[in-house]
Amino acid sequence: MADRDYGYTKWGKDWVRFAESLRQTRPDPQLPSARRMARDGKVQITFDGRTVRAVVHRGRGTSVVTIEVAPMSAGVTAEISRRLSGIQPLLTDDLYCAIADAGHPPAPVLDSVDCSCPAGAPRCAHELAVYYDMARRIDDDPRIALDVQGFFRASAGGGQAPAEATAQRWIALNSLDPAAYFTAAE
Amino acid sequence: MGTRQKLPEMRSDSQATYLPDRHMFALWTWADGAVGAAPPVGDVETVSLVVPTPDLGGLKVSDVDCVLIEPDRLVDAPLDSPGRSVDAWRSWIAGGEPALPIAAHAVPDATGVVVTTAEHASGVFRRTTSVGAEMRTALTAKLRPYQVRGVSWLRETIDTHGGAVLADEMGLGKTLQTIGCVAGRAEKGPQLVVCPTSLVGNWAHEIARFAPGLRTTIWRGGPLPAVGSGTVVLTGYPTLRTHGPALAGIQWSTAVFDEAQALKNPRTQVSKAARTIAADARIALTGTPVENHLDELWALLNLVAPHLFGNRTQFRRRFVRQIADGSSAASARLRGAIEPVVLMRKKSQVAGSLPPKIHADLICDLTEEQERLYDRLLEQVIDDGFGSGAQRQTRVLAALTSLKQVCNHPGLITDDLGELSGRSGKLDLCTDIVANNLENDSPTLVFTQYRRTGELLVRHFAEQFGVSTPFFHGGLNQGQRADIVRRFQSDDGPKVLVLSLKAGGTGLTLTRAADVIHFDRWWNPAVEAQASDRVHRIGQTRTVTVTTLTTGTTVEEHIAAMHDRKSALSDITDMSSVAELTRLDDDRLIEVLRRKRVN
Repeated sequence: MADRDYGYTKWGKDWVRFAESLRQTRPDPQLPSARRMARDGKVQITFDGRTVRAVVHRGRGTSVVTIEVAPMSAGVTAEISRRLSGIQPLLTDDLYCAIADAGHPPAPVLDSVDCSCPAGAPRCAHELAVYYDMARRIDDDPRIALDVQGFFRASAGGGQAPAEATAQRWIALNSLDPAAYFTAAE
Repeated sequence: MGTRQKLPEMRSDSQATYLPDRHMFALWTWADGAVGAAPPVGDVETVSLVVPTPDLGGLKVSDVDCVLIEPDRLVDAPLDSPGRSVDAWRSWIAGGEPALPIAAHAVPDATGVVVTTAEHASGVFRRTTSVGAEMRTALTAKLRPYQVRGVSWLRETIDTHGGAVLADEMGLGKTLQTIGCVAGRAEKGPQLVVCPTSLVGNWAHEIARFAPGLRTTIWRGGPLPAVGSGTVVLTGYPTLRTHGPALAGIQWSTAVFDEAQALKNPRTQVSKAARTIAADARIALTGTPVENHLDELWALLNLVAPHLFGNRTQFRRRFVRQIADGSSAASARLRGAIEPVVLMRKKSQVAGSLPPKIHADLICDLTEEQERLYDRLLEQVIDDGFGSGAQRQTRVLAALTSLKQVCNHPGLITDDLGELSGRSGKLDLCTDIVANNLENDSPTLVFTQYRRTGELLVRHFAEQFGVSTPFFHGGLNQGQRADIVRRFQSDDGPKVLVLSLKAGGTGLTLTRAADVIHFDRWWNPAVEAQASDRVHRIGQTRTVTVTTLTTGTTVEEHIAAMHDRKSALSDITDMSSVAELTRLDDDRLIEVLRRKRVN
């Protein structure tokens, strides 16, 4: 039974799926404690481009989970840009479905996942807790789902931006070049 | 500061950042690698902008001391060493389209992680400038820059989302901005305005005044008259509730819901009727701070843009619960999420383009009870005759007084003062305004000429809002008067103060309030102005809003019309106007007193 506290938007649900894979047939005994860690604020996430770094506290130990998210494919970027052109990203569930129906599901792909815990096994509780915390953050603000896949950088990065993305409303603060602050880039 | 090195980043440049919501420029300076003092060209205000970090290696959101000026004034503003952002915008104003540096559009969103793009800033600037030119011929009023932006914003938002919530603070001219938008859509088909019953007449009045090209039809139920392009149908919420199906058969080009908090509960009959109206564009107007009532906000969003905010449960989970838990991040996120369809500006934000005093002259409608009573009283007066000589003056004055009391509240004549709400258009409207000001923590002064009206207001505010309202009137002794003033001026003093026009009109300083309501009209505009100046004195730092309530079609309109003629004169005595009326012959006198039928 899916826990509806996490992933109640389609954008967040993608991250719940990393913890609760549809292919999984047996219940994973680690999931309840992973959810609890996320709920109790034991996961502290910082973003650096497409890198998600999370400090996870469990008991007396602390682990660092590093997740590299693959860049969004050009097709998905173009599809989303087209649908968001001229307005602020309003990432509703309807928009998600429309993008997916157009053949460009915006679900993220993970390049690598690493945890500093001694277990060293894939799918440790820390890693699962980070997925839930990401789902929670993205439910709150779905723009994170795009940001962590490099969407805003790609669409703002001059040459790569799809031509039809007219007058985008916002641009990510960290994708601006401070050197162009006072003098316009030519 | 010692020796100044000639490094490129060590300069003191003026910068201009365009604020798209207000269609104004924030002027600020950058000196020695930090934000400097605002340029000395106006009042300093703090605006949140994106500026370089001290090491110039990154960008951050920071509160910057700015001076806000209108586009017209940027060209001539005397600025020291204008930076590239100033030059670029001056060139845009002159019709050029140079590239904008980040400083020119460095406005962050509520969450502080994204910045307005150059394309958006320049697009808004260009569209708003052209809307401004269009409005100069479409409307008879001159719009302020933020109002022009309101019109261009309504258009853009309707084009993208099909609906919009204009939630400017009261007094900023939501009605005028909406009329600007409605005038531009006249060709697209019939349009509908739904508002509180007591404001229907005011809408008709304002449309006739500002957009004389539009035809208005007031509809109070029954068969709907034939409507075509260029027609605006005006109706009240009660009519919508009871006769809603008659409106549903028409494809409206625009449906406007004024004081849309009337639709806060989506389950009520009136909300259901509102949702069945077929309209290409829906505009909701509200002056209450929507962020304080999230369920109400959702209802409005769901009305104007159901495809964006259709899921109430999700809205509650994402915002309502977390904001209730005190999460400031969640409320910033909310502001970011509603930003595409909600425009919400405060007087303090646009103070630079406001005069120190805003006048809002509202026309309110009579209820049926008031209409019947007004006509009956007048018949009585006519039957009795006005007499002549000194007696005539007394009788005219008595007739005027009782008619004006009917306008204030019918219970003042019939002595049926049980339930007060819903019987006087004026009292209901005044209550809405006070409710709004209470929400905004804006203390309010209410002036009336009549002792009994004042007592009625005090009682009504206590019943409606549970606030205890002092009444400053001539029957109080010096100590009591001083005590009321002292209590009102203290920070936790009463939120509303009722004053008699005569006793409270002079001498007092009540600058804690910036909102004044004149509940009834006095013959001499100078007396009203003097009363309004209780709040508009030295020590007042906010924009003062003076609202007058005039009951349409009645003798009060005659009084208001006399104001317009007289406001240039200051030495007229109060009674000369009554004397003037006394000198009219009976037929003309009755003509003045009789209700003017509209439509």
